[in-house]
Amino acid sequence: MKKIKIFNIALTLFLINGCMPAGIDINVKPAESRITVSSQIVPQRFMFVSLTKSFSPLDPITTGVTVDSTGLNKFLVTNALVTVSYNNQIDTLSMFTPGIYISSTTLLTNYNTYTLNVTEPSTGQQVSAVTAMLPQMQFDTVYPVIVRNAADTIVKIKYVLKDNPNEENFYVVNYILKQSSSGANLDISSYFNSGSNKILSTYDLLNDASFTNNVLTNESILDVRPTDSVAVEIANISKGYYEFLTAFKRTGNILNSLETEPIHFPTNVQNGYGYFNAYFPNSKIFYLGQY
Amino acid sequence: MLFESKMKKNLLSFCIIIACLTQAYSQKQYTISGTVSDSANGETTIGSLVYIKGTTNGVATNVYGFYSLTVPEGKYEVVISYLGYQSQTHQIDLKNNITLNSKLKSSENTLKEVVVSSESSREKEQVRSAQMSSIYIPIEKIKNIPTIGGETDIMKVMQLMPGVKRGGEGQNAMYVRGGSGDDNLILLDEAVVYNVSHLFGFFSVFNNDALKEVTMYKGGFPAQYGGRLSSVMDIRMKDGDMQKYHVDGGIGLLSSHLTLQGPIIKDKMSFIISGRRSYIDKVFKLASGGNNVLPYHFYDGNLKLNYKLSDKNRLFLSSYYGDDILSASGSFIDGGFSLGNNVGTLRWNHLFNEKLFSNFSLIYTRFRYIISAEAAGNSFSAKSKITDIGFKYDFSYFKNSKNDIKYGVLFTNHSFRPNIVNSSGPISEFVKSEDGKLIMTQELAFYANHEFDATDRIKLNYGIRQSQLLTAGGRLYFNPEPRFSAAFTINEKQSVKLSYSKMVQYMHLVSSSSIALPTDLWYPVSNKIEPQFSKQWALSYNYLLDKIKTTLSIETYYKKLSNLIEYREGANLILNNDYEKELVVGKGESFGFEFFAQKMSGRFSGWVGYTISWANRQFDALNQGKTYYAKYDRRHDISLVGSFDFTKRVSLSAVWVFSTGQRFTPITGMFVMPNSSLTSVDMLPIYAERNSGQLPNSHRLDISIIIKSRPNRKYLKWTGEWSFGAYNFYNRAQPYRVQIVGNNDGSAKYVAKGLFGFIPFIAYNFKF
Repeated sequence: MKKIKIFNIALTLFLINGCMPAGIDINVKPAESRITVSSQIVPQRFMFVSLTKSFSPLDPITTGVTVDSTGLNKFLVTNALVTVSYNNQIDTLSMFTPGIYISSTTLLTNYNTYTLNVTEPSTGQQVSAVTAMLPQMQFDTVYPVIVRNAADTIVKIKYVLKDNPNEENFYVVNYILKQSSSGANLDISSYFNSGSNKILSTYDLLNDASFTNNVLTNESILDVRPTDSVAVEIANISKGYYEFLTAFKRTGNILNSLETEPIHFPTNVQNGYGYFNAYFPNSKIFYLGQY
Repeated sequence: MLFESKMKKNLLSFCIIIACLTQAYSQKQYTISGTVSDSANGETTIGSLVYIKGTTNGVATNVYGFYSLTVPEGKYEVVISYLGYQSQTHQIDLKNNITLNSKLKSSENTLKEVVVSSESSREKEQVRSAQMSSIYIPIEKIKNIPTIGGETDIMKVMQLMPGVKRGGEGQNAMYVRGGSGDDNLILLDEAVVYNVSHLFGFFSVFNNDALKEVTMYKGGFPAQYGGRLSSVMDIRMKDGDMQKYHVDGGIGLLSSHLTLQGPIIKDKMSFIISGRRSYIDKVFKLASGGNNVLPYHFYDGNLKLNYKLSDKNRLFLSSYYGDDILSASGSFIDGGFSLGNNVGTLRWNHLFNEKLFSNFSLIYTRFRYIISAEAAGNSFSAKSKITDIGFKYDFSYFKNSKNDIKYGVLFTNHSFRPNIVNSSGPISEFVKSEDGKLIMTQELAFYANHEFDATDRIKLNYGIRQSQLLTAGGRLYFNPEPRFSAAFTINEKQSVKLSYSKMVQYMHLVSSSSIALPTDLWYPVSNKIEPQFSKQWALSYNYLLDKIKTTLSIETYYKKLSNLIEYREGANLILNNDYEKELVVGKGESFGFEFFAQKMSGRFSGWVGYTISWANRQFDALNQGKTYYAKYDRRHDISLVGSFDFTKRVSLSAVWVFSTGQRFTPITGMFVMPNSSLTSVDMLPIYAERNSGQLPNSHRLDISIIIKSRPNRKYLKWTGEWSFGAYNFYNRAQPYRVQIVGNNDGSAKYVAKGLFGFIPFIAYNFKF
């Protein structure tokens, strides 16, 4: 009986799959390696700019979904001349760690325009980007709601936002979820020190169309446990970065992985990739065990 | 008001054209009319030639087997011929209008070339006719062509024709003359079939046992057809045997089929019922020792009734029903999907007189899908459906042997009900229940077409289709679609033809994938999304190699496409009622040359097709507004199809195809970016320009050997045939996707992979 079963399986596989022919090698010309820019503002204190280099999909670094630090190091841009100019002033950023440049003297003021210039002496590559500082956005109200029923416990974050009707605005609402590895309630004191706890994140993108009479009352359901904690962060972002994040979000849609059409990422970096931003995020942290 | 006035003006013009056409050429003559059918089963033949021997006066039977030939009084030899049948000659002393019904005998059991009179033949008619860019295939002539699983598939046979490019490996999708996959109108006994695929596109829904023949138009579209930009595939079902009962069936590796037909009232009323079911689920269950590892199957059924009410009236009822079903039940989740078509047509043929033939059709089409899942106290289901109900009234006026006028009207009410969602349990917090939005549109079209012999050498065919659609939002689209074709006969073996067609498409397929998924849905145009247009010009040279009954044609075309619809990059189309935001509008063009040599009669039959073509697209919102190659822009396509009868019982068929590699958008680089909350870093792809990459060329040989048994007269005249063969005989990858594969030294490379390799098949077909 067992032999018959094995024969059946073998026959079926043979008939259905036949012989799988070897694939055919093809040549695809790789894109030129270029500098990639990303940035972050720590309100009233620092401007961080991270610089990496794009690489070939054939590089071993691409074999894993997550980039490990060893593999990443050779793609970090070190010894670059990085400046930010604004209001007829030029600040030079210093390297904080390989690939991360920092300025603590740059005056970070709403609606100021900042121009980033990067020159990498070893390759002669130069990139530049321009961005504007957007004013900080505040939640009108934000709070978690925990719905407990027999089958499941659902965690929602409810918030109300008011939009400035006189300008076209774009917002990102980030949810940074910290999962307790022990199942115990998380400590409030060290939110960004994850330790053995798992950090997950998700985000909503909003534009003027999301608001009714300039007010948005929204709720998001999060995949968290009542013992976890959630940081909710709102930021007023540029239209270009909004489009970048929209494309970013679409790459994560599993249904789109069936799609054969590409997603091109918009950039404001001349001769490079990524996005140069200057915005003030505003965060609220909730320890769900307290609700 | 503007639309109303425009509409009235166009209708008036339309009526004037009809009136002029029907008044033309008044001269007293007599008419020979009747039907041509198969003597063995009474099945009417489409496109049989009826002509006066020694002249070029002749006509072809219409899709109901009817003909009408008007000539001056006199004595004539009337010849009736049809591909694969012995010709008949009738001596006629024509003094009055007469009815001449003819029953032709099949030449199936002879290995000789079919004897067809030298004055005319199907091939000569092809050379002389003004119709161009069309492919006509009797199902009997393609049943030996090898395909995956051993079951000949009409959609895959059409992919072997010049100008028709196939989609992914094994898929039914067709891209005709630079068009998109949803630009093809597929009709089964006049009803639109929206989903032509079983098993994610690997099988078509058409069961050959129930089909009579197929005609495909790639250009030079007759005015009675419309609604799609690139092609029309008119599939006709068999009518059912009027004389005797018989059964056809077949057992294959993946599915089996059975057909029963016969008279209900002899020579008056017949039926044909046909069914097919796949047993992939059973095969896997058996192989895995009873585990339902692939609980998927499809089935379909065709039914047709045919009733001769009188010599002048006939009724047909045609129906198709089919489903693809996946039904999984496990310890964690129960669910699956069901999707399928249901089409039906009730037709009434009426002969007003020997020159005026009419057909009135009531047409129903429904396509729907249901996806459902249940797990841990949650249940979810999503449904979508499209339903068309309408009528068509066609008239054929056979003025004389040189004038043939067709006109008619078509009305369809389209009802779209996408994304009906039901959810319960905690999941209902995430996925809200929705009733789905009902979208209704009404489409109306009038047409008139006049085919006539301007001189002995010049045939003209001109017409107009006046289509209009009222959207759900109340906007009226109103589009005249002129059609023209002409043939200049150089001599009886050579001709030059040209044509122009404008086509309008009022609906589009919203698909999230390059394979046929259950969630693919048709949507109508709206107030925002306007109809798509194509304008096509074609020129051909045709040559008949009379001695070997082979027609050659070289054809060139140029097609301009406007208001084309594509999706934004990364568009989310699943269960998206606001999908219009994901659409972008652009334009395209295509041009090319096609070579086609076809021999459909004799011991050796087959064809050679070669296409060299270009197709591009331009969308402001895609590829930075730059023009790019269409996805199925493949420079060269070659198909060699041959079937040879060694003896009456043994035949060999082979298909060899070559295609330039398909376009794709390669990932040429990667970069890393932190996410918006700076909690992780993601690798993001850098794509080259849209469709700038090209997969390797593909070529493949499929073969089959048919061995027929001797008829067994003791047991119900049982005859059987074994079919052995193989798909992709020399096992070459048919590239359809690109993967990055690691080498042993730690480096990596791009590799194009195929889906199937060498697949043998065996099937047994029988009839009694």
